[in-house]
Amino acid sequence: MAEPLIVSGLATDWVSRLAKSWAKVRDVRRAELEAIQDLFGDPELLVRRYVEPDCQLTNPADLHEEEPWRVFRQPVHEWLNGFLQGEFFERDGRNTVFVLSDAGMGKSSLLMMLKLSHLQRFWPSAVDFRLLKLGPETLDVLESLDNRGSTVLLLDALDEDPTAWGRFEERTRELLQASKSFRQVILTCRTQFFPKGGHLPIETPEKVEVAGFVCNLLYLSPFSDFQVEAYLRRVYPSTWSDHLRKLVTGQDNPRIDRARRLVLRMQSLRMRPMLLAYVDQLLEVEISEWTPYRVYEALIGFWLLREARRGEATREELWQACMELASYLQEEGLRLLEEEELRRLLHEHVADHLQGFHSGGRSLLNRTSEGMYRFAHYSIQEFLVARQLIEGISRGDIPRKAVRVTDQLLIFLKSGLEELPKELWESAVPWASLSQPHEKTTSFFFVQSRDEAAFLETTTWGSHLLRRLEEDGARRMRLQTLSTGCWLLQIRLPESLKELYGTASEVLLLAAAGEIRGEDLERAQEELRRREYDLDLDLLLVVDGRPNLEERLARIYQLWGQWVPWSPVDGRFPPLAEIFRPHLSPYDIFEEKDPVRGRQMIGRSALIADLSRRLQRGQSLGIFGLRKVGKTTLVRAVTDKLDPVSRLPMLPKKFTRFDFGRIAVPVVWLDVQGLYPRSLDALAEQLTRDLEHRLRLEDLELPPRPSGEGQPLAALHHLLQHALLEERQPVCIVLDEYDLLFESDRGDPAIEGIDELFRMFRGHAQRTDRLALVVIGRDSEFFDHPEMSGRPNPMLNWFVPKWLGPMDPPDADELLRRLGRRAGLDVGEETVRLARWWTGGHPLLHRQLGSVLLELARRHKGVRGHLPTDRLSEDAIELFLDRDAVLNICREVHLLLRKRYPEASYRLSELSRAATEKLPAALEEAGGRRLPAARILRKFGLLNGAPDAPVIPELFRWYYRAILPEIDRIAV
Amino acid sequence: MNPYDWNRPDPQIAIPRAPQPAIVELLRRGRSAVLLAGRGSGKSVFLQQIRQGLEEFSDVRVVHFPEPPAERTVGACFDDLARKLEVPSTGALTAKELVGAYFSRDVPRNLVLLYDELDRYARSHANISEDPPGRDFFNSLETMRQQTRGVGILAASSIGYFLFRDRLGSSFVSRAEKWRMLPFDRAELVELARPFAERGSGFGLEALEALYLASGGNAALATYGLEYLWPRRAPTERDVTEAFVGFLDRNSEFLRSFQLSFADPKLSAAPQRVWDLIRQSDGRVPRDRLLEACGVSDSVLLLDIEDVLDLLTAAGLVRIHGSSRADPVHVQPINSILSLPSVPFPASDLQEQLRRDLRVLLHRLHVSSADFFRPGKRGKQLVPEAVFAAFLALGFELLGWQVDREVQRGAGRTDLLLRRSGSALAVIETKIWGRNDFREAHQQVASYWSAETVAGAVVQITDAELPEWPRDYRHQCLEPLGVDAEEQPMPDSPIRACFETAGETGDGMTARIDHYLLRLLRRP
Repeated sequence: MAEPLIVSGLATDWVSRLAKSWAKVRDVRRAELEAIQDLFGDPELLVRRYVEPDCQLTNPADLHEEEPWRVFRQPVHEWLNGFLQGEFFERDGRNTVFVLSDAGMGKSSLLMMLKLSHLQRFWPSAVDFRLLKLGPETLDVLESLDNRGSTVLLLDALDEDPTAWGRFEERTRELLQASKSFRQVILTCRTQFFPKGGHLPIETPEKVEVAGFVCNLLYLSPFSDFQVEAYLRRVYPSTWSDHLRKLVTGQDNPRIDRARRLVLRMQSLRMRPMLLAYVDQLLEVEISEWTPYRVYEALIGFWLLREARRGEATREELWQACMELASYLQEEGLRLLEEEELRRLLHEHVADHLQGFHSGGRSLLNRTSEGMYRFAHYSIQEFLVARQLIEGISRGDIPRKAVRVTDQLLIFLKSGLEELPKELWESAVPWASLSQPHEKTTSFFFVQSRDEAAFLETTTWGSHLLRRLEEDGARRMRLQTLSTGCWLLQIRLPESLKELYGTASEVLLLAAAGEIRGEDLERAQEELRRREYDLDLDLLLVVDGRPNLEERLARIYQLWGQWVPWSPVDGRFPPLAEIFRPHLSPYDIFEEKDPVRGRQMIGRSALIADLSRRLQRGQSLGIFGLRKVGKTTLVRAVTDKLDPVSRLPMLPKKFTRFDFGRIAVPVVWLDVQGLYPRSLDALAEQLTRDLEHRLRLEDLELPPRPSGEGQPLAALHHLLQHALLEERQPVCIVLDEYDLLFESDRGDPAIEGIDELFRMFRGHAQRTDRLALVVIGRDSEFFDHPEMSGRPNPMLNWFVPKWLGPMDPPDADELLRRLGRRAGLDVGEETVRLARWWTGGHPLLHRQLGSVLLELARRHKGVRGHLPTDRLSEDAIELFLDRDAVLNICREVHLLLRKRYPEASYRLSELSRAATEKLPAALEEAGGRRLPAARILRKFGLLNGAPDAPVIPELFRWYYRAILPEIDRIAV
Repeated sequence: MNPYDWNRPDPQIAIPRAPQPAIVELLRRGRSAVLLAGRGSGKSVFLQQIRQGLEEFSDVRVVHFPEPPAERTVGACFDDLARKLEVPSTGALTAKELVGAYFSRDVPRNLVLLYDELDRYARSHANISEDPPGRDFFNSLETMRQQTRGVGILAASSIGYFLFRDRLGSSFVSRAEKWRMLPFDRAELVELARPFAERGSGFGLEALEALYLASGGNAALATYGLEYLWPRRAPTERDVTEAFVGFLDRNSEFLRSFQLSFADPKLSAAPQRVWDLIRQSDGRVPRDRLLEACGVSDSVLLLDIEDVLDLLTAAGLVRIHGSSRADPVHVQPINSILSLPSVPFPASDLQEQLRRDLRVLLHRLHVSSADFFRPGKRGKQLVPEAVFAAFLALGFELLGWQVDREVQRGAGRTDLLLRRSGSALAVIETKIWGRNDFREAHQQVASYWSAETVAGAVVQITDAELPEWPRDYRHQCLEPLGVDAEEQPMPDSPIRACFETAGETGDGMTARIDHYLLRLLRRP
């Protein structure tokens, strides 16, 4: 049971107590404070200046900010004490509170202060507070946390989490599911980003229904005048002479007086702590009009002036640089920027000589301990984006950006545009979308760019297409020119369509003014892989202006997915929903025998997160399991994420590493079976070449190759040494089918000297902790022996072995269901049950069964909507057993067991012949689950289920009973 | 000029085969495939067709490897690939590097590699125990394919496919989709014979049926038959029989390589055992017996039932009806000179020899009933009597008899006049029950009887369900002639009834004529 917090909590004077004991906290909790500073800003400054806000249960926007007293409000610590001291046995959302407010109202600061109160031991020691900035990694992090019942999660800025954009409901569901077992959860979010949700009855206005959870809802109140005053007093503390002056003359601290005069002019903006935090800078600038746009412009202009004094660049150059950085971040959905990327952008867009920015403290940019940069507050980034758009419009040069619009960005845009002559922007900017965006919280504002202008000018049907997209509820995220007369549109599909067909949120549309060509399709695919791996890799909408598009597409050589031709009929494009059904089902999306990538990888997310973390820490891994059980797919999912460069089979001729986004770990991948000759020299040479190739992308100067005896291994050694010295992040080497290094399928011995290679790897890994080796193979046998090539085995106890069995039932079910939706199937409960029974969750077998269902479904003509599969299930099994791919897996399992684990082979054969209900007894009779042979079967996922209800996938039982010759069954 | 040449891999007439579009589609997706095919099934021609199919698409280059390099090593295979791709092979360690070098030039963006004779890559020159180039080379190709967009690989193979799988552990065959080459069906055979029609001398229906039965749809055999028959203005079924008589003696190398393509005893005895089992069965083989036949302990290969049936199907030897997982499995031998028995059952005299051999052939005829039906206006119907006669003629020839067709004897022409050695003769008349002069059969055989004739037989065939057929037969065909017939028990035989008769001919000779009633089933 969770420890009650009743004896502790936040006292009325908790803020001042925290400030007083700060020095002690700072010394003892240095590492944790650094981590906080990296993500949230300077905690010391915060503690010094923090004024506790009030909170309220109704949206402050419902009342005028000038009359904040009209609403019931209370100090936020009072509400939080009640919430945090409660114990929640029900995990239906009541342990969660959404804290909402407008930009700059102190949400992040509140969470930081709560974390600091934890560090100061205001709460029982058994209770932990984890402070996280929400982002794509959050689920992985949550998955890795232990001691959940005693952990309070502080999750900041749902509105800044790119994975929530356009999928709030889905993202919130993921977060609530992942966090439901934690003690309490406090999530912050901008009010405008938070949808209305399903409010509960009037008796419980403080609750909101989100994604099926009923959660608490709390708003931060704008500062009262009293709180503004308190804040100013913290910024300008009175000295003894100020006190004396007050006593003698009755005049207050003159700096406070000046600040008071300033904030009075700020009107409602003074209620925002974020702006108050910059009051000393605001005092030094001239602001004629107190609109949000002008205030931010003045504030940032002040910083840049200070920066310009360093002499590297003029203020104007710095403005340009900042706007480029902000636009880039906004476009990419990022908050953090790597130093290298920062330099590249400065170099590309602004000036060669500009090396960087001053960072820290109250600067424009903050720098994390990992060398990443971010704007001090998100609203600064939003302002800069708005400014760049407005500047472009004022010059008549509409920027080529498609930017994500937030409420704050709209405010800046509107207030900035209002200062321009209307004729300048009226025709180019969809004012309606500024005033009434479709969905305020997630809308994307698409300024007509040169690309779009060219697209509309060149194609006669372009405007119809855009209109159709709008009518279908799809949004254009990006429009870019692929080649002359050919464009790529990145489209966000409406939720309904996405759900119906199990697609990714965003898909690509290839549009050509003339006839579409094979190379356009290929480049579109390249773009898919390069730009956004979470786009739908298998789906491409294709539009061109010529007749018979479908037939022409069929004549283009290489098919790589579901191509949906979309041609106008009588000048109008049919709705997307109408064209998806007939064009998605003909392509068998299940039929994939090669390792899958991107969104085709379904399930195993916890394992992927775990492996990803381990590799980033420089750990070495062994992934073992049967052939085609998804080992390569799994590791590819990890390495694709860590090193987007490794996604591409062949690198394009012109590119830089910046084309690929963040690279956490450069990866070199070698499939050993492709190697010839099978020798140490060839292996080392190939690894050296691949590593050289990969490192060149990191702009590493490569060392000269050593000459003489043992040259390839020595070259690899030197190269690794060099790389690990130069690279700050780990380097990962993947050896797929590593077993072949030690024994070929024909029983050849290990490659002579192979131990030297692994000895070298281990040496580098131990010395640097940054060489992560991944081996993929059938089993760990070669790394488990005490010796390798007659000497101590360097791999022993080094790498972390992971056995990969079939997919867990929910993942296996999801695979069938999701791909099924994609192909027009409604995969029912009976089907998934039968599939699990037959395949045990083996991914390729599951896919084959799905493929059979699709084959059967195609015989049912004229079905509207998705075809329910339950009635096809029984017939599907017959066809499933006819598939070569299915039998091949059985054979490969049999051959492997027969050769390497004859005892396990014998047991599987014997157990397969037992009736299902007698399997527990048969297993017990054979020695039970702990018998070495049974353990092998369990590792390979051939013996599953609970100890008292063992299960052998029916397919293998059938194979051993009906297909395998008698002589093979009994051979031990 | 004769448009047929059964020895040429690039014939003038190439018939589109069923799996071609599907395989082209597969290769378009950058996948790999293996085509399992027996000797003479037309796989080389098929590869050419695949090539043509692919080359219809723009932006694809097809590279064809008709055979392995002379020096059968991995290095030579890499060199071969490099030479065909016109890239230097020096220093390349993997196929990926070679293909990468190829794609780095201004070349079509897609590449398909077609490998014929995959079996030969699986074996070294000397024997299978040496290290063949196939494993490492094809593994390298497979790795390249998986990591390189736009590359498809197709390899044609026979039993060597299983050598890759079971002995070499090839990841190439592990992921490759397997396709079986099936024999020509009737429609495809008609298409193949189109030049006869085009020159104005049609190919008779009976002749075509006879060709179908003699060749079993094997592309090489069918082409051979047509090549042989081309000089004839209007070939008949008798010409077809003549074409194939002695073929096997003259082309023993073909037979040997055909045999090895599905049943190499060095690799596994299972296919031969299963094949023998199927030939001896009545078209329904109990699963246990198949399992037993596959369970050969001294095999290099580990073939299961499905593998063996795949091999026999791809060799064009058997046809499976329904599921191969049924029990019993409905599997019938496809009639051809490759599947008909060639070893006669020894017997004491000619009459006994005739009885034994005829019963064997009728058994085969019954097992492969489906081959003797052709599409008609009212569904499937039996082929003409002449086709049955042609089938029996060929069967007897293969069993060592000398067969004459339609020889003038007495008042008419015999269907079959048989002799083994010496001057003793046997006469056979084939009739379809209910058609033409089916009631006259006994009389006709008797009228052909001469002093040298020692045995005669009438074969009556029907596809109808006749509950009282033996009684009706006796009543309609024997009793009116006053023939004394004794019905012989036929246990475990598909022959519905057998009547042995002995009577005097008009010339006063004793004619011993056996009557066989055989019902053929439309469906097995």
